[in-house]
Amino acid sequence: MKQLGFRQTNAWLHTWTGLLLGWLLYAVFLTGTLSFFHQEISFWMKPELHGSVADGSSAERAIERLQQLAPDAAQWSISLPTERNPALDVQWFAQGERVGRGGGQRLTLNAATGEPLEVRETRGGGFLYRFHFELYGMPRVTARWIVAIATMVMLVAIVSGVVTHKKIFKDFFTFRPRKGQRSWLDAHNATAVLALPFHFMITYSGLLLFMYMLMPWGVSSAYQGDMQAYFSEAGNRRGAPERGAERSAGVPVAAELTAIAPLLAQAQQQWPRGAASIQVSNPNTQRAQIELREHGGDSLIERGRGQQMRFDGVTGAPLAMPATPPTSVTNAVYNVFSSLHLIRFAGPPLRWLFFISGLLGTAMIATGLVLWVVKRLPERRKLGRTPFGHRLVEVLNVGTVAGLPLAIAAYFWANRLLPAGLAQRSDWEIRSFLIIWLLCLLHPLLRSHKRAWQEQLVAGAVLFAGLPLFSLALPHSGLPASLASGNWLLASMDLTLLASAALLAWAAYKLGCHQPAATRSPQRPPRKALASAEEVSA
Amino acid sequence: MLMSYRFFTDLSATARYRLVILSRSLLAIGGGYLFAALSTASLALALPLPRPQAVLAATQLSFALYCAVIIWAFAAASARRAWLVTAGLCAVPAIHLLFKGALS
Amino acid sequence: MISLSLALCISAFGSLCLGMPRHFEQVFKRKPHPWQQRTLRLLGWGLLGLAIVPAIHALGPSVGLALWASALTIGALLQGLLLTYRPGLVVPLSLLAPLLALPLLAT
Repeated sequence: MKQLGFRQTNAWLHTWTGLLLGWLLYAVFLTGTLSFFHQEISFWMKPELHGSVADGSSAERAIERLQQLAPDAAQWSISLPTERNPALDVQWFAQGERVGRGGGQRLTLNAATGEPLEVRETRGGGFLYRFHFELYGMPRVTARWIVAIATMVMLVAIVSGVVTHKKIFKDFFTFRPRKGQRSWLDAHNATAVLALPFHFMITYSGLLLFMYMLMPWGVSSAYQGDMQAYFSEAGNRRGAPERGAERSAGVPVAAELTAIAPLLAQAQQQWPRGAASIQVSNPNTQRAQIELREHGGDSLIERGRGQQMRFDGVTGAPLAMPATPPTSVTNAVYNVFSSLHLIRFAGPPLRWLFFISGLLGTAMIATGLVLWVVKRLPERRKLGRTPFGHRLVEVLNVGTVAGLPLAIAAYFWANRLLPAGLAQRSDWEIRSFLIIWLLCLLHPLLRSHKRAWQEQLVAGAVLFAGLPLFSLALPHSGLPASLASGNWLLASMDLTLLASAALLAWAAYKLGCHQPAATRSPQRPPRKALASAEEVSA
Repeated sequence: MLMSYRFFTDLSATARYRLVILSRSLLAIGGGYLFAALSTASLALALPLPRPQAVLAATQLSFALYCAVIIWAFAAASARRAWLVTAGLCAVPAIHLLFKGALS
Repeated sequence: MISLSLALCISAFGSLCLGMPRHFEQVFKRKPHPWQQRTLRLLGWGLLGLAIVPAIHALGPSVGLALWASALTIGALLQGLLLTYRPGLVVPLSLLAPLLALPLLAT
């Protein structure tokens, strides 16, 4: 490759790094994009919650229920209904139990009545979220390394792609349909360039979220590898001890808990978005404290973390909160990047815009993978046969690009169809996903390339279109009902499923119209050096 | 670079091309990571910031450095040159770390 | 406010793409005068800058800028698709978008 210029070596690098991990990156990007809505997906996957409608006194109902269930608990936690999840989640910890994320007892309540809900066992959108950085069925650390390496490759592919694409601004708005390879290249360029800030942000921040695993050497040299020391000096929360579980000695003196409504009203005045959660430590004793947390903050520099308010649990008097130290510039960069990636702070508009950008990224990878095949068709015609490598890429392309959406549809169907009492129900949902995906990877081996695409796209379209229809049969989940009651949480999910079906059907239709043209595709004289490089390497 | 010149010229064009790719890939992946790691360790000590922030800044920067070396490893005029330059680049933070005694 | 920011981005990219001779020809079937080209580009960049204002006003600097950056993508995507499939709609949509967004402001 001595004879190649800078742009051409970058083109080579872009082609091969992109191909090598393109399928994994496609899966990471697609499931990651869906993860922007993982709570919404989880809600949709629990139809038992769909009747729950939040109102002004949901918090009081939760407290009432906890008074019945666990009056002498060490701590109660209540997640108030939000626009992303209109049910009440309560959790309580018994005296002496360690207060942590996994412990305690949990219950989901109907926000309108306070009645406990029997919710089907499912991992919901959380599975897709976990899958996008931990894959499935392998040790967590291994999987994270694999995804991290793929992310690094993505960064290289983005940078080398920008270098390669010389007419990046001249071609900014250009898409030339029905021109074979030219159109695929245009589509690949457009999806890349239009959302370039997003692609770069999401890739680099993805690396930053893994950074202490990938690059622990800064901590090694400055702190002799002592992560704990580093985090506690950096003021990161990871080093701080869990609060709220501390119990002073002595028998607690019983005292009546103050009413929650006035406290929430106070919070409402300061926080336009309202409170997200309530935490009561030592309820029904004199040491009771009530802590309210704001629903999302304004600033990415603070990671969109909400403010807190603390009250005396008996008198309802406000208590002072420990002051938060100001954020330094380097911390600010990290916080902005990581919270943009995690997007915990965002309201629906930004979430949708990110979702569309994520879909563009997914489409960018898909078009890139297809482009690799299309670009080599002339070479194949000249050769008179299909080299094994080309066939392999074709099979993997169909099985991933069309197969993964199909597998996700199968995951949703399994959620609807598996009986509620099934043992390991949530595992079986995931197994359905994996089995269907595996079948999708095998199916193109038995069919011609075009047939395989068409069949999987049509199957995906049918499965996606069927999901909203099936929901019509459920008591509170049908699309007309959710549209009529203005339940956009459910309606958007159903509409998105229909849109996905339409997209896949459209792709299958376009493919059906397509006539493979040996003569029509404009044959530009290939750039000599690059062509020879590819011939040698293929 | 590791093989004798004679051996190298005797190979067919395809094999030589593959060897060059292999060599450059090794350099990009291994050499690039080594450079990024050494720079991170060195900058974490050298940046004129409070210690935790120097670590954070150096670690955040490392992926950009890694990416730059990967692209350079394939873009350099010859594989030999790419190896030499990367070695030279690695030497700077390595020497700094040796002086600081952090490599012990 | 968010819709206004998005609408301004759409208009801005409409103006920017018309500022490129190739796309100007696609829409108007003739070459632009140099002064038209310059005006359109200036207008486009100006509108892009202006679109930051409502976003930050509604959501604060950090979330506002994030919203603006992704609204750019949508604006450019929309105009790119219109140029390809319905070039006649580029001008009307660019003019109408901010007007359509204004009533939404009241709510």
